[in-house]
Amino acid sequence: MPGDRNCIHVSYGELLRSATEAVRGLGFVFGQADDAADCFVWTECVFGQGLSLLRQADQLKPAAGWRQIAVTRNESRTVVINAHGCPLLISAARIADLAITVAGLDGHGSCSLEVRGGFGGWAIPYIANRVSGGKYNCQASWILTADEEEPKRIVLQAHDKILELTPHFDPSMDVVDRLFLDISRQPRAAGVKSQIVVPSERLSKALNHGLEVEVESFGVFGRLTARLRVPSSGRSRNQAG
Amino acid sequence: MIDRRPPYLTNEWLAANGIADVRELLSDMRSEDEVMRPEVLRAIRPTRLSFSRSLMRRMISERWKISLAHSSLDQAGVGTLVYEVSAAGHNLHFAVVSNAPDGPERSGRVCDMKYDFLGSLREGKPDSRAISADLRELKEKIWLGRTGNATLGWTVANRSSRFFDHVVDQLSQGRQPQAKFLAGGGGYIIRNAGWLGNGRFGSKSWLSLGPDHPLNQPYHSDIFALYLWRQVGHDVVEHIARERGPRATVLSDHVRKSLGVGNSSGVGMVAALVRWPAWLSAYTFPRELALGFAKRQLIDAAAGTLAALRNLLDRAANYYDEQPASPVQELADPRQLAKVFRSIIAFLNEYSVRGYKIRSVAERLLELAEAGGGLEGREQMNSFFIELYPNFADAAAKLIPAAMAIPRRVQPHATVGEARVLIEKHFGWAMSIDRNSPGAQKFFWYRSEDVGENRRGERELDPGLEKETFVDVTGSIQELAIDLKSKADSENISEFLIAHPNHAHAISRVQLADLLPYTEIRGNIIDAKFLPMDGIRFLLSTMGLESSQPFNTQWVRGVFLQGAPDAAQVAEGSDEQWIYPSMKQTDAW
Repeated sequence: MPGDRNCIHVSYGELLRSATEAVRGLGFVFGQADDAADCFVWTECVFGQGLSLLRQADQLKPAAGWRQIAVTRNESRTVVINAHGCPLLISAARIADLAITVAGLDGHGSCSLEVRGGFGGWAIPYIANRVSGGKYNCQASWILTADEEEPKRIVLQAHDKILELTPHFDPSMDVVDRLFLDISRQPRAAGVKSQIVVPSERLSKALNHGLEVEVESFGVFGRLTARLRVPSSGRSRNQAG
Repeated sequence: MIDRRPPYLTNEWLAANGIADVRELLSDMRSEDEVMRPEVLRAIRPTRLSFSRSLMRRMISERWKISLAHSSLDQAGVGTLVYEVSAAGHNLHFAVVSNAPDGPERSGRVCDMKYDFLGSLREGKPDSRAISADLRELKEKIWLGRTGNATLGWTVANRSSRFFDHVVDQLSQGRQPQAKFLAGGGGYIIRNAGWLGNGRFGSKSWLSLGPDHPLNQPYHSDIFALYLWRQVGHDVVEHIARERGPRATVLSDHVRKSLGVGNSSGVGMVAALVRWPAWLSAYTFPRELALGFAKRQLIDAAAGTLAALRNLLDRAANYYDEQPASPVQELADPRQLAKVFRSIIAFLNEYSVRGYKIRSVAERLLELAEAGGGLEGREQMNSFFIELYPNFADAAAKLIPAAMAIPRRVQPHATVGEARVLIEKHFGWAMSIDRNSPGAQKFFWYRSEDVGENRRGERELDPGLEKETFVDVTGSIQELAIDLKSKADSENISEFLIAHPNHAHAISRVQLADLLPYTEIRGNIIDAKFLPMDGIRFLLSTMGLESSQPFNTQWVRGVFLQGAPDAAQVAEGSDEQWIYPSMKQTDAW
């Protein structure tokens, strides 16, 4: 909250400028980090959860290094993506773009994606929103744990860059066992009767007024970008010019 | 010739500027192969489209008022200053801490922690409590400080001690400073050491400035801070001189205008140029558009236009005669350039009297300029041409914000085959570079623990390679091409990128290059032969640095706003021509 001693005022431009470096600080190469930075900034501005995605990824980073997501099955119009051990933050743009592409193939205008085992559920709204930017409706549902026989629950829907979220929408769990994305040109009849989020309004507010974020969370951002800094020396100081 | 039309070059813009045939206009533009070579970028000079020029035009046309509202300087010029700015109905203020110099002249690098001047450019009318809090944060913590949304940015500067002290000494004795002495140092008494705005330290994001905000054009905040430092320099030297005794005088109008603001820039500017290809295109396309237009008009140049050109050549010759030479051998000697411009004046005089059978006066003049002054002579001549058609050039400058806003995103519906075609079409230059040749991968860019200062290390010698800053466009495109090779033409890019997410950035660049011309420096930036000053000088010219003399091939110094109207003239709406000022027009030469 503004004025809270545990919070710090951060500007949109500040996040944008260093976002790619922060993602690189997690161990991703530039080409991938640059692609993922948009998801981080968007999620922080719209839901105040981008920094938590970074922190979560940093905590769950495998010692052996990151695995890549992979398309494991592509039957008819259902694409299965294996994202075990991968932060959705990093793959969000790629998953959304794949969904848009598959839905557009052969003029069908619809498809289903199943993403298995990724973590960082706060990246899901970004995926859905990006898909909706491609003039599709995107309905997301999930099964949280493999050992529970829970039915898949619709958690959000995106259309025309507007998000409908279930009450108490909280995808902050470590792993989403199975995430289902249903993409279609037609609006879904069964809307998610709950909170409406217009991301453009929240982005505009973040841009115009900045954000108040927890000092500790912002510290994570600083530490990640600092990993890209090279120790200085006399020789190094002469290399600036 | 340019074969694609950027989306911001709308029919409305073309109609408003009297262009009936856009293809003809594009065909008059120089090719990317010609313009984007590093050695050409190095030679490109400021134009009417440069940000300092567009800012000054706005300040003058809107008659901005800048006044010193508060000063608590002591005899040594130590204390605080607050300036109020009234700009087109919008209020700003600039709060400054003026420190005592303590020892040798400061280098002014971003990794320094001490500066002679600290400033905060803020929105609204001055509020003493808010100013105190902001300046305390800046003064005590420097780059670890935090500010808020009322602050447009923090900025720092240093005295150029020898020249600053000379001016104070002379004024205190009732004399004007020796212009020749000042010119020998580049013509400034204060050196900019950085503008840290657009969100840094929590400051206001530039993108949030509304359509009526006086600083809503790209880099106008940065340049306005330079203008304010120039004003601070004037006020502080006059104050110290006054404190020294009753004989003191003030700067003459001529000296006041002749003093610009010094600037030094290093290798980080190259990384910035590479990082944002749409911006590089935005800096280049409108300028080349204005140049193409001007060269076509010059085919049937009116006598008045040639007279205006002679006037520019004359001013520039005098200006270059006074510029210090650079120790870098790749650069033309300013006096040689002055000589060339005078010889071209002689040619134009002959031409006006007798006429010559030549295909195009523009091409003939460019040949003469290049024959005597190399690429720098040629590019300076191109700047003159743009200057001759101010209405079109100013309209082209207004395209820049829209050009910079073009997003670079992966277009997911494209296929592998289409990506291959785009690489062949727009990146043939990169594919033809032999990265295995000696020295082809000698350098890497990185940011140091010294406040993130950009530096350039050697791959085989220096630590930090795994943290390198992205500048190697050639390498990323060649690696992309290799991975595309094994894929079917029909495969979707979005599927390709699931397996090869590391190429997402390269794909987006390739696709952007098909939308916008001039997005890439066409050279191998990590090669031993690449000279960082090529990119640095280009970006500084885009900003408006009038004179640049590299210390070496990766560190460029120069001066901004030399000759620009002072605050009183701006408030009066002065319309005098101010570029290429001569300091010689003073008794104290």
